Amino acid sequence: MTTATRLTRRQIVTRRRLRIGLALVVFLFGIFGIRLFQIQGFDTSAYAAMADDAGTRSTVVPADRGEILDRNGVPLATSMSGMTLTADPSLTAENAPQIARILSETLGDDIDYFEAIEQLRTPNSRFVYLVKDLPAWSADAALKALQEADLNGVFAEQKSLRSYPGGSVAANLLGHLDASASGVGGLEQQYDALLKGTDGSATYTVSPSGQRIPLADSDVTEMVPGSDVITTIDRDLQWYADQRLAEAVQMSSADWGLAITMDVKTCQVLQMSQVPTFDPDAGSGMTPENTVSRAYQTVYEPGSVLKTVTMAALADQGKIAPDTPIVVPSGMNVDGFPIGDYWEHGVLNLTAAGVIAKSSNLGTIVAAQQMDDETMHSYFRKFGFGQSSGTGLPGESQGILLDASTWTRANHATISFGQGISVTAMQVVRAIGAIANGGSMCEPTVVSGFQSPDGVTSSEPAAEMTQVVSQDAARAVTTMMEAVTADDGTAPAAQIPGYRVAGKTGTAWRVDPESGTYIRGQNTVSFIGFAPADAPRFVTYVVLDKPYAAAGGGSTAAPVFHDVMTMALQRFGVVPTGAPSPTIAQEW
Amino acid sequence: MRQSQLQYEEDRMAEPSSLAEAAAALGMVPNASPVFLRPSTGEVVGVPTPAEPNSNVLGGRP
Repeated sequence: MTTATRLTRRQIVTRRRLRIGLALVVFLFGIFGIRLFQIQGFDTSAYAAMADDAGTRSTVVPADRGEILDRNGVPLATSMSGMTLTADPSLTAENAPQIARILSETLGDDIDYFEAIEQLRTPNSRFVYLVKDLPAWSADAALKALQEADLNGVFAEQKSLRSYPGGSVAANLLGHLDASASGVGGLEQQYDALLKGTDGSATYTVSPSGQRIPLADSDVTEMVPGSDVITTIDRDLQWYADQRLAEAVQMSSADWGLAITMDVKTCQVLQMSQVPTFDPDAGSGMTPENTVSRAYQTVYEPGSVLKTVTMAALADQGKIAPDTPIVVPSGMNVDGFPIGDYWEHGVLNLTAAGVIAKSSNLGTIVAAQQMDDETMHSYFRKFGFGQSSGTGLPGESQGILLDASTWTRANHATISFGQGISVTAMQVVRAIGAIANGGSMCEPTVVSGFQSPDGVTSSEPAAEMTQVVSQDAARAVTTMMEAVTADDGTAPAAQIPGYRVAGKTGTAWRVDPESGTYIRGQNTVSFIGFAPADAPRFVTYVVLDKPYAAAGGGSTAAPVFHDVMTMALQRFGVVPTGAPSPTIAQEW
Repeated sequence: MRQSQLQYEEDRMAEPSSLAEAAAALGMVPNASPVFLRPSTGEVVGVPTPAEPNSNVLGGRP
């Protein structure tokens, strides 16, 4: 046995180590191999997509929301491209003061210098919002200025911005947009789907630092803009009525006021004002009391303006004419309720025209006793009370007209002069519009048509007419209503020189919404009228809620009617007929 | 971009309250009693009444 053939103890150990090492290396490479096979053989598409993602960026291209136009094509609501500025604080922290200075120089009041510095230095963050909803041109100017100064890390996201050039003009009809750009209230809500359009998208290649690579591949899906909604509103008349109403609400210390003007031939609403209101352009005054659309959402007791409906019902049955003599008692007690007139009087001999001209509750009750509950109820239904006005606007109230079977004697008496019945202003405009239009009623409309992005215009069908009372009955009530604006009526302030004007005042007791009872000394005052009375074209309704205690419809609402109606007649070139106002006997 | 900026500014300048302010600054007042002229006969329809001073409804956003 030689030492040459025998391995030393040391050699054995070394060889064993080598073998273990080799096995480890083979095992390790085996794992690499399997992993490599997995990546290249099985998961290829997922990794390719991840690689693509790292080098591309996708953005939503927001669709232009359609415009809301007035009857002459003037935009009441429009859209423009906007931008939201964002920043990557890991890139901006170092130069925060310089960046903030350039931003505040170019954007002015839209950004706060010190707040911007804070944002740009946000620790452990790679994304912050700097300024939201800027007009595209001002955001663009800011980005250009930053680029010139060689400052990186501020980015822009595209956004479509809603703009209301007239501020609060027609705000309660238009509605507004919420944070997710969906319509809230009014036309923005009613036609949301139509106005919205379809968003597009754009994907483009970026460098590792996030810069877009020019001329590299990009994938663009075009956005489809929304359609325009063409309203029946006349912007200038709307603005004028807004101003006049605001003055009247302020002067009379009213809680709120509204004014509506409608073309009685077509039932197109020309103007729908409300005070107080909100400004969707500035986003100010957005409280529920301001954003509610009172013309069709708020219900209230209308009071004496509804005496005209009672008279129309009686005239249609041949039971009354303007000169019908009525013995008006000095007071009445119905089911234990004492009912009187707003002035103290003994027994009066008034004509039906006199009852309307002087607005006598007692005279109206006496006249209305000629018809039973069912008949009177059916006429009020025919005139549209207790049913939505047909504008289709969101959140419309129907008002309350109790079923005839539940009427008490007191109901019959008070409903005849507009108490114990709840209405919306739009319902009153529709009903009195029918009296103006020879007894033919249509549903008020605020939209005349639509315009698709390719310029195709479609029109809404013309309003359908329903004859609710005979033409003779409508004419008889018109004559009674002309007595209201006469020198000895309740609203001489509604006279418009050269024109014949028919109208009716209202001073209704206000109902406490909590107790459901009337509140002494609180009224809803109003005036509704149409002109020219001998060839009616427009009806204008003015309501002031809770003015100072002594305020009446003739003294506070009628002057607003006068100004708005005058402006409407002037703007639409309605020539006076030249016929003199009739003298109507009020007593017999 | 420039176009939409100008459009935005024009919309606001053409808006009724801006016009009313500019008109009032020139001393203009609204005509409360419009009359019409019939071109065929030269007849004046309506009652011509002078407009009263200080009868403007002044614009301005709430």
